[in-house]
Amino acid sequence: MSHTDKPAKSPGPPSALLAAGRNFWSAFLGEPRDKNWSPADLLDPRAPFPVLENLPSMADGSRLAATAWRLALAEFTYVQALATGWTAGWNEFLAGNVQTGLAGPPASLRESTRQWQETIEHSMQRTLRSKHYLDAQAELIRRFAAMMLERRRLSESMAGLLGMPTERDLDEAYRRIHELKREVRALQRAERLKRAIPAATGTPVPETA
Amino acid sequence: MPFRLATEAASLAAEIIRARDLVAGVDAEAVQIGTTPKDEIWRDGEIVLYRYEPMSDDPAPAPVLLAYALVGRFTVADLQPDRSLVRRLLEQGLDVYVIDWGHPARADRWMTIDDYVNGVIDECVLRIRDRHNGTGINLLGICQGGIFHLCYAALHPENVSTVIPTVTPIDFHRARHDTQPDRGFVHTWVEAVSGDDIDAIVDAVGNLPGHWMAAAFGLMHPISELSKYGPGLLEVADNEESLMNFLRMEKWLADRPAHTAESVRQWLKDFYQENKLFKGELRLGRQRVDLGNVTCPVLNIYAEHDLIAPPACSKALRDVVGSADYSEIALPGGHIGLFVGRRAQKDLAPAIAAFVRDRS
Repeated sequence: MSHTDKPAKSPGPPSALLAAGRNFWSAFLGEPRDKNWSPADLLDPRAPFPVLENLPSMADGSRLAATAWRLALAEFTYVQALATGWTAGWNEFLAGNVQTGLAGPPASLRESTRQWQETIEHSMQRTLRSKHYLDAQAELIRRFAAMMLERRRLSESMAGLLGMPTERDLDEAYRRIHELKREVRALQRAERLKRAIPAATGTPVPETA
Repeated sequence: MPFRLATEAASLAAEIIRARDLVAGVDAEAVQIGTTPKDEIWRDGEIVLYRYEPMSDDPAPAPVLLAYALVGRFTVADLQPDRSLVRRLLEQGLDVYVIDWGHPARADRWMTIDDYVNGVIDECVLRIRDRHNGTGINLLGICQGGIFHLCYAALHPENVSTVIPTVTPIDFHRARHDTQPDRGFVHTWVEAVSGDDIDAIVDAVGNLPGHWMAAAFGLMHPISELSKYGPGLLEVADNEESLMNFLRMEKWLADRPAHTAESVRQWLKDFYQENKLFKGELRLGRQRVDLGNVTCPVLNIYAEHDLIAPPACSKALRDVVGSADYSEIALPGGHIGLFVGRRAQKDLAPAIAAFVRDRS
């Protein structure tokens, strides 16, 4: 599933400001369960106790803050996963040195450093294949993507309020230019093939599948 | 023992001071890579086709088009005069062209693998053929560049004389059975996330930043990466030549372009996760890529100690390629060492040149 849902467009004047404000407010709070809530709904006699109905969304706080918090947790879990390899490697190195220390002093500082590097490296590489690490990495990627999408959702709401183009608008413009370049290239290629020197191998041009 | 360790510590301190002075004396402008002279033949925005100035009086009749992966710069094949695959090929009399993929911007996020293969490479091949009286082109590809060339050869066999993929993975799932602990990390990491996760991150960030891929490659050897500018630098800073070699490699490593959004989406999902190229299910645009349609001569070169494209993944090409003239060469070294190592300078270019000349 691609996260490309378009936000609701603001209506034109004279109610544009109110509508844009409502959209921004509902986006900031997060989508209520059944409808776009706004402060004006407090006075709507057709919806008994609308505030109570939307309290869970309000109590959740802003979606941005919640997303940022989940990203922070994922980052912590990721670092923790890396740290297990680091700690295990240090324990292995120290245990090894206790053994060799009983037999005698280290050969040299350089040799000890090399041994430390090798031990920690192998321990980290085992960790980097572990389920714990792979799960933490996947979760970090998910939470980072969610944060970036949430940031974009809010910036699009703000841009709508201010009447400014968004990243999505820019990417769409680039996509159309790209499609046009493809068409031009296809036409140029067709023209060139008409004038092309025959292939050295004599193999016929395959048809497009 | 304390006296010996103190002596060693004093010697180490002297080494650090010597290295510091040597590094401080380096002129950043003197660290140059990709210096072999070349001329611009064609350009589309950041993407440029270059032709290297010939170096031999005995030129081979068939041109060679070199394509690197999108995740790095082609300059690794021309790192410095004594570590340059390009120069060795030119000295062997080959006429060498190279595609510089450039540094994609946000506007390039819609570039797909289809655009790179059937758009850019096709344009380059046709322009080179025009310059060489319609002669078929020898496609030399490095890693992902090798995959692009193989796809092109499968879809446009009439334009291709030979294909020479180097350190090119074909069966992305063979890394699963690799028991070497430091090999195939990228395969493991990509397969641990879902296709939906890949869609989410690509939709969220667009082009995948170059420094993300640099971080991923660095994570394969985390301690070596951390100590590279500490104990590692002391190993190379004992003379200026070693230090400059080290700095040139670092300059190349730092130059990591972004990977365009739509191409990386397909790269991670179709190649790494679903292994579509090997299974014959890959589609570029509306065309299905069948490596069985690669019937031109193929020379598959892989590195015995490749951690990014494990040898088993590269050797799998022999199982699916349609060519009756298929051969392999295994060379010592790693994914990058194959091109910049001493053995490469001695063996790789002559092998490629002999293969091309024999089939011209």
